[in-house]
Amino acid sequence: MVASPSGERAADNPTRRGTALRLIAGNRQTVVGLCALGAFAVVALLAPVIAPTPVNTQFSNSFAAPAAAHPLGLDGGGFDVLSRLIHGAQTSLLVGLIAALVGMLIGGTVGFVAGYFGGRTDGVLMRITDYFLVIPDIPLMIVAAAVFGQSLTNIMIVIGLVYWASTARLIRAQVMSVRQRTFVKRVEAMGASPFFVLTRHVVPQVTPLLLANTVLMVANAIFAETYISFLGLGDPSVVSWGRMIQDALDQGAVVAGAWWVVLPPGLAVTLVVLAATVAGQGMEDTLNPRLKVGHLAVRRFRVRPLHGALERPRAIHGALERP
Amino acid sequence: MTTTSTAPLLEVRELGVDFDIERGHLHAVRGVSFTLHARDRLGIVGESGCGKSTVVLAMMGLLPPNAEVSGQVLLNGVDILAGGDSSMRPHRWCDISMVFQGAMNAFNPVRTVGDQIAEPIRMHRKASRRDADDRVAELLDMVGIPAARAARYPHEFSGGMRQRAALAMALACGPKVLLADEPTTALDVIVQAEILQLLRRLSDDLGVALVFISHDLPAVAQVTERVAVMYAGRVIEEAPVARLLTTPRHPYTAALLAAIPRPRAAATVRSIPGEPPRLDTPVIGCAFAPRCPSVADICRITEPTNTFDSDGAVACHRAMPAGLPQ
Amino acid sequence: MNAPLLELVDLTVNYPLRGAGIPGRSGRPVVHAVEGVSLTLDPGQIVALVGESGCGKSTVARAIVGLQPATSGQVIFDGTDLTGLRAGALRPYRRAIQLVHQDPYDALDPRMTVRAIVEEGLRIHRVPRGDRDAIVHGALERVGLTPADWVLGRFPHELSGGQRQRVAIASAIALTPRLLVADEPVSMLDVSVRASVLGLIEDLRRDGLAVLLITHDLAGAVTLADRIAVMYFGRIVEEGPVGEVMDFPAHPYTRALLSAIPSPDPAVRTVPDVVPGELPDAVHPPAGCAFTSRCPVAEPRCGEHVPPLRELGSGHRAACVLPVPR
Repeated sequence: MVASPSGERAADNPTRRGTALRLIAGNRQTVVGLCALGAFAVVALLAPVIAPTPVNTQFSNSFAAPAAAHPLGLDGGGFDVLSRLIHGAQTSLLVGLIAALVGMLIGGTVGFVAGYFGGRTDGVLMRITDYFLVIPDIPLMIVAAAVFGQSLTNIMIVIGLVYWASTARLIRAQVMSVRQRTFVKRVEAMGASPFFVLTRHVVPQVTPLLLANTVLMVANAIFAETYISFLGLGDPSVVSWGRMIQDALDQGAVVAGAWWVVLPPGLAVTLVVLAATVAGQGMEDTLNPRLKVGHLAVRRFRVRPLHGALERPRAIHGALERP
Repeated sequence: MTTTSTAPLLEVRELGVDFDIERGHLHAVRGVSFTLHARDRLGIVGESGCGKSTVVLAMMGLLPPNAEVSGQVLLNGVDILAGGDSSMRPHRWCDISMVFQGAMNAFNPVRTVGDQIAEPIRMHRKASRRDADDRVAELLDMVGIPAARAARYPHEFSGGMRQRAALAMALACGPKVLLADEPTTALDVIVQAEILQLLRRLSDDLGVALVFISHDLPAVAQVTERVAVMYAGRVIEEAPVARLLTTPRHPYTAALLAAIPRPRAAATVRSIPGEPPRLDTPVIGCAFAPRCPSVADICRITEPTNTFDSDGAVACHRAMPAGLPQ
Repeated sequence: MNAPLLELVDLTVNYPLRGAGIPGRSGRPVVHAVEGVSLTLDPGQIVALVGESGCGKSTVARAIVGLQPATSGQVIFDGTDLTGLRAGALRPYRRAIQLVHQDPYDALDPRMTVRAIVEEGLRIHRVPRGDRDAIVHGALERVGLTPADWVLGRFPHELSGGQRQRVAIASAIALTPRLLVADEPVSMLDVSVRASVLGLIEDLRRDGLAVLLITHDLAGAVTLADRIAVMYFGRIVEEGPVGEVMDFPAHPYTRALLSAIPSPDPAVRTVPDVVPGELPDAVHPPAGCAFTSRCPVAEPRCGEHVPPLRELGSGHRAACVLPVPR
């Protein structure tokens, strides 16, 4: 076999240390998505400070149109929509993040163990994963909410439990692929224990992909929380975007033509989920080159006109002039 | 080399390829020129990164979008590169075709080999299924594969047979020029010898002009009549193969020959110290100077031009005079 | 007479064909990768195990270093049979036997510096921290990567193929092994670099290291081996001092290999001394000699039994029932 040229480009080996960060930063998609997410996160964090009114302050004129005092108007119950939107951000993002973390922890662990140890362990774990993969997510969440109660914590756990399975599959595949690489076999042949190999070689190679997948899971989780709240199974004591949409429909905002009650929460969910998806996909594409399809594009090469047919000696002066 | 007065079949003039990469430009190929008549067999030899694969990919117009190609590729007097991809496409496979590096592993695993060989025939010649099958049988016979195998899948073929099938595919539309990029590199030595035999026979029987790219100088010597040695994107020596192997003029060629192990020879094998230069910085002087055993001051300042003699060319300030034993 | 360092006694490795058959039932198809291989290696000796791809030589290497369990037979290292040992007891032997891999581009963790890579083995075997620096320096200098200080901080992607392979060798010798198993150590390197890496491996012999060189490149193996063993279809078919085997090849397969090496002399057309044919099915091996389907001098009796290795004098053995031409 002929050797590949030395001086390989960064994109050929995204697992090199430090390169992952540089590559992600270089991907415009990812940067835009992460910035947008960051903006929402900042808003959520500063919710109590920047909301124009405390969330539970009730005003008298329900369905008041947007005006200077209430930039997004009032909803059917007389609450300031903007304040509710900002506080809702806190809930939705918090649930999304924690649920995604729960999913990542379970899925990541299962994936690492199944991928590394293989054999019967892998078989058993993957059957369990398959069960969770085929369970319809929304009905399960409905049942769980009904059985375990409608608290925020329960929702986070339930969402994590539903979505960990696809992460487990992805991580398992990646771990198995890393395990076959020559440098891992070399170290195993030297007598390294499985724990040594896992922690020092496999985890560092797979973690960037796990993080990318977690970002994607945040998108799923936020959407799931919105769905649950919209169905009325969310935590009744907190404001969330899904709840806002549900309230809007309950209060007859559509009939009243009060678009400022229905549109903002829906738009907010869409934007956050979009930002997370774009960022996560960008990261995954960068870190998993096989997902790219750029090489399938039709080839078009550029031709330069012929400059002079004869070879002339290329004497380079300047740099080599002796003083 | 045939010294006929007929017009050349293929003429490559001052071919150059630059790649536009994140950290600047990669000068992969510079000023490569050669001429082929029908039945000529040219070898291009060099190590990894010297640009030999890039040359043939440029000739086929198969470089990635960040490549900038200069120079001309004249097929029967017509520059097929001039109009970009659209002027190239009608010639691809029908006039000039290629066996890629690793072609034996590039088969679609879910389609029969016969189907895949028939594909270019049906595409370019708009042949009916029966005509295409007839042609496939003809091609398989040419390359030494039993006709019954056409209905089999790639995984049922051994490496050597897959390489023969790749050759059959390349010859499907009756090209006049065949470019073979490392066709025997991944094969075992016995199978390699069989494929080299096959290439010789195909060139003789079909009158196809052959360009054989490899890092394996003895394998190239078995098939070709002339050899061009490439280093850092340039052809640094070109000569009839017998002369090149016995009295090389360029120190790199001599060093390459000295690095080949021979089973029964007493001479020790020697490596070349150092590595080939990076192609993203412009060359000052001769690219081989840092590793050359006969380097002189002028080598580091001025890049050598091609000096032509009766049957070849060499680009070296310190070239051994032609005709002296090594 | 000194005891051999490594002794393979009737080593056999079968592994089940993936996905075929019902798990748990006997009679599941197996691939007979290695059949009854016996080989000895003395301290300071270099033995080359030569064969084409799929002959089982890499499986032998993996069985010796414990990456592949043996189905039957023994791997006796310094008097101890390694095949029966459990992971804990095997540990000191994982230090004494080191494996150098074929692919230098994948053998080093891209996220680690050269220092970390070379030091890793020392860390695994709990060499005292204070001693590690000196050992790492020493290993790098021994493989010719000087100045060691510059190389220590580099990442693999900053090094050429030859340099990476030297780092891999350095990480192996840092553990002061007694046996080095080199699996195709130079097949992925440029021709001009191969000789120097092979030269390094031969030089390590001075430190008392024994080397088992596994390769398909017969010519390259001959430049450094003392003894050569030729494998075909999972068995050793010829074995002996390298000069003997090269000058008087007794087995038709060895003769075929030698005849297929492309001669650098273009006047000599290399024609492999072999009948065109395929390897037998590894799942259903033939009853007789496996080379029968490609042997130019095969007789009907060759298909009856697997020929045993016959003594031909001066340590030269061949597994062929036919008389040896002299």
